[in-house]
Amino acid sequence: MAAYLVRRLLALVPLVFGITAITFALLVLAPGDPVLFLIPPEQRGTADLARFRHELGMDRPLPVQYVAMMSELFTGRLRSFSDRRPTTHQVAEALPTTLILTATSLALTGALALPIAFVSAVRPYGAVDHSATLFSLLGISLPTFWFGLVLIYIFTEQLGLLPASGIRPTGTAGYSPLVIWRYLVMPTLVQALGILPVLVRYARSSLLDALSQDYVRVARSKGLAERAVLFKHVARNSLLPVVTILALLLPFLLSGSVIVESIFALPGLGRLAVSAALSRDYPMVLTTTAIAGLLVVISNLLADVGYLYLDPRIRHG
Amino acid sequence: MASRPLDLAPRSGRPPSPGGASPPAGVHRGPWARFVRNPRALAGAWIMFAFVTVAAAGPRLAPFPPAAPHVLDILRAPGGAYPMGTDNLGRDVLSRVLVASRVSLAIGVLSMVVSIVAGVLVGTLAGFFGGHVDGALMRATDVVLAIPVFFLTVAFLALFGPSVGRLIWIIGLTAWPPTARLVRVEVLALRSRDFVTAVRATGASNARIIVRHLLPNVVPVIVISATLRVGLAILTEAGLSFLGLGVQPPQPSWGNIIADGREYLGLAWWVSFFPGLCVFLAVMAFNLVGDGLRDAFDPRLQI
Amino acid sequence: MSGRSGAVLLAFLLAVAGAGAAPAGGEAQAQAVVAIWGLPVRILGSGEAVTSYVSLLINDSLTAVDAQGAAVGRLAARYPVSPDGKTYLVTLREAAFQDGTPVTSQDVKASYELYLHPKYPTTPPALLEIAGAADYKAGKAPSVTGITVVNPRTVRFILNRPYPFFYEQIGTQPILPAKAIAGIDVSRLQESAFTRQPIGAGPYRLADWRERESITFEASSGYWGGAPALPRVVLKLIPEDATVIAELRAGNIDAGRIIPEAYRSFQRDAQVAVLRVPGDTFYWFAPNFRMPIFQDVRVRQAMALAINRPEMLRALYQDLGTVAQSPIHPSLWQYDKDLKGYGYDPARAKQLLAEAGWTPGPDGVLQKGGQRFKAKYGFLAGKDYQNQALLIQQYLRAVGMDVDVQAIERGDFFGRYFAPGGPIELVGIAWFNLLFPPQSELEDNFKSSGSGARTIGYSNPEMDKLLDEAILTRDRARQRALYAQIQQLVIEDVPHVLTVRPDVIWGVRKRLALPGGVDSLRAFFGSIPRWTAR
Repeated sequence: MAAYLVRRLLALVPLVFGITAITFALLVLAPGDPVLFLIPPEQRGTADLARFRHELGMDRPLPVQYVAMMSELFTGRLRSFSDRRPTTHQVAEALPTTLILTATSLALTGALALPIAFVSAVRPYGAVDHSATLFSLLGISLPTFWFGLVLIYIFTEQLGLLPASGIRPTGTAGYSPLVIWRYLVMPTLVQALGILPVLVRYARSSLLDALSQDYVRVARSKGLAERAVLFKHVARNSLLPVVTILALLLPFLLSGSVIVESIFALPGLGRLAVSAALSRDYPMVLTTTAIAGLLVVISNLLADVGYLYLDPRIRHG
Repeated sequence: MASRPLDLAPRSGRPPSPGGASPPAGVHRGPWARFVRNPRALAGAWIMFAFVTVAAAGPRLAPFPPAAPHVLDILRAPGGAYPMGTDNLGRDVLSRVLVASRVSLAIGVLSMVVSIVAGVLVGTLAGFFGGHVDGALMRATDVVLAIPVFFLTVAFLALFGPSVGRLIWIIGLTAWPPTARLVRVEVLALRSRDFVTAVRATGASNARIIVRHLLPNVVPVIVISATLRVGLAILTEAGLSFLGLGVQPPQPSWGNIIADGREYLGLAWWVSFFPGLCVFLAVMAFNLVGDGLRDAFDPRLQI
Repeated sequence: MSGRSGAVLLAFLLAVAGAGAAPAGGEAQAQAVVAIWGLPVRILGSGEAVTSYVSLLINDSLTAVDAQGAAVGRLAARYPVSPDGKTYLVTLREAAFQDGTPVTSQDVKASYELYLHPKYPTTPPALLEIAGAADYKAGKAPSVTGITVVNPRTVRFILNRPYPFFYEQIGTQPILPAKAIAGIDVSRLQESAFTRQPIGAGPYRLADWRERESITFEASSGYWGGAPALPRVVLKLIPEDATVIAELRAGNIDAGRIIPEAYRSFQRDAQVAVLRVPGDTFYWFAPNFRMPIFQDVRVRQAMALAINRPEMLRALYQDLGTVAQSPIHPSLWQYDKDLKGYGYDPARAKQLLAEAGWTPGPDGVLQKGGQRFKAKYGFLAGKDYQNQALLIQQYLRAVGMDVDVQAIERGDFFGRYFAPGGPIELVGIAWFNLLFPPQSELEDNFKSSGSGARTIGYSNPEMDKLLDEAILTRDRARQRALYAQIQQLVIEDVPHVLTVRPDVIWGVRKRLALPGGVDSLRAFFGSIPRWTAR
């Protein structure tokens, strides 16, 4: 197990380099000159472009730039084009919001998916199952931003019950759950809507499979008490893998965070990535993609470790 | 025995169960029959067909030119000359939605094609040749899977400029890994089967084996995953339009009509609602068809 | 779960939700939360509008001008000018920075030398009128000889020539504490501590800066004009318009910009007052003068006549705004109230085009010598530009000009398209009129040496002459006449076709009272120190 973990951790390194290399390639190939972007329009005629470029280190050969950027990134010295602060600072400021939102979305999804899947599997094609299916369809066919704005319209504009912007009351610091929970309700719902159908479907078929096993049928025919015990056993065994699936859903949540953070004015990683791309802030684009990639890879690792923990018989070659 | 009707050997390969729960009717008659007898799948297929027809006819069906502003009829509620109302420039929403169907469905379908082709290519090569080829291709797949898709999509479109072509390519090229993995598993399973060894013994080239013998068996897996991709692609375009990186105005797409209408949710709900309804129906249709295909080929297949 | 415990739980949840539902905006009566669409990225060396709004709150300058163009002293108590118009003797009033230290002439000289530093990226061009400034900027002198510290409360400015806009362009620079900016490495301006924790002499102190989230300002008790009534102001970043409206109605924010379509429904709102602020944004489109079809002034005038500006204003902005004819903001003394601009006259437009040799072909598109009148209209990607482009396309088509519209995304627009040598045919953009007074803006766009003018290839010797003359005289009446001529020439020669200048609609919760006379977006932010809570 330990050896497996070490091997997987080492495998992270080439993955992150792969991601950053692809991103760097995009930046290099992109048309347009980011330097022009950083100079206010009135100054463009007179500004010393060569000096700007030199300051930003963009007149060095490409491989040198890549290596330099990477080493600067990982030592936290890579500076954003826009405000010249180390990119890692801004990412560090944005990360808690994104992580909190992601964690609560995963928790909510798990908490909702399991009972729904349970009832659906126990009574397939019943009322709950059908509504769950319809609800799933809604979840995967509605644009998230539309859904988010509808929620804001209902709960903020009409009912005044929930705040629609920010992660915490203005002027407060920290992320104390008692204080910020109200700000998370709607964003979490929107995020969960996107991944709940996937989880419910997976959990449902996993349960259905388990329930159709021979030993369950045998237990059924034997009587109520035995059935109850086996039921619990089945539930536990087939639902545990579902929990590890949650970790695999993180990439979808990260993708969704881009839009959710914009609608709800959450100062998270998604919004940082978008504004960096739109303003040609190359170092920030590189940093946000690398961090997001790292998060994805770590969550995959956690999912795999979860599998391994649950089923030591799995051999990995 | 005499009472039992003479029936052909079941093509599905599964013996009828002796008792207990009866399998869905028609299980003996093959995938197509099963599909057609599934009401939800059939409904989905009809809706798909309707959308494709509308998209093909597109602009000819539109009562007004989609770009024509009617300055006196800004944000009119549905009714009268405007069955779906008008938007903030007085443009007829129905006309725009009709014309938009073409590009939205095109993006959905073509990006799916891109992802399927790439996925099949990678998965087949990896599964068939194994060894180093497999290793390298799977590493590449891992890298693409590790990339946070939306982040890369946004970066790509922001840096290179959004266009319908680029949308199709980037959505397609970030979506192939799951397909590649599925195909690889299938190919791995198939290549060691007897019939493959037999064909190889006749001296057929690798390419021939792949194309004539392996791919046809992989098709069901591909098709199911493909239909699910289309819906996702349409939704992705909507999200990108929200950020200003989707189909660029004035060309309408369902996504950008919804995005444009989002400021008027309280004042003029119809602008976002009708294209949203189309997205919902289209995605639902593709998903129903996908589910139906899955049930038709193997009701117990988990994808 | 039994029915009773379920009910208790439900009641508890409702109570918690209800208790927490108290509007966050009013929870501290003494603060105002203002929603804003973008936060500054940097405080020093930035050309963004939002940075200038923040600077209005935390900084103060020597002088300003009022709506009639008369000088107003801010940190300067007395500011007489010598008869030859080249020497200004500025005496400072008793004032202190937010860290308690008094404002002295040393601070004045240090601040100007920072803005004129060779490596300072956004040196205002007007500062080069100061004697010795050009040398200092070029690195040829160790200090600016034209700025002399006479005593700790008096500074003398000597100019190269009798530049008429000292009070509004030179005297309006923020004064910063010399000690705090002494340590700044100007070549790495953005990395200095000062840009994140600025100290100024303005009514508010920057207390807390959350990147991409909010900036909190606290009233500076030592402000010479008296501490502002509201002890705390928060600028909160909310990118989505619909969210601003929802938060405003719910009372979670106290002020926010709303879309014109929502104006009427907010007029009926019992708790929110709507304020129409004359916008600072002038929308226009311009031809590329290097294209032969646009070189005939009659063609350009026809374009200007073909645009139905009142209809654009009504359709896009619910009539909230004004048509734009003059490139000068109406709140400025240079604005010519009597300027006669273009009405909507497509018939006259067609006449002019016919005179220029363009006649309608069989499909209605104008033709001349076998050539069709076809052009590409590229506009900066954005909702306003896009909507306007679609209407403009219709108007031009109605007089026979076939125009294709295309959105050009920001990076591409400023990097490639709207640059000298860029592939412009017709370009749609706007000014944001940050640089009050308008001289610099006018020069940039209409003087042949200006970068905007060079981009579209505009060059008119008469315009150059007028613009040069306008800064050679200090006689306000003469200047007014010159600016009137400049505005008239813009109308006649059509380097730009101006279209509309929409209002910015602010929703402000009625518990806040705003002073009157807010006649521009800049003035709106500048009025914040005078807001009171009822």
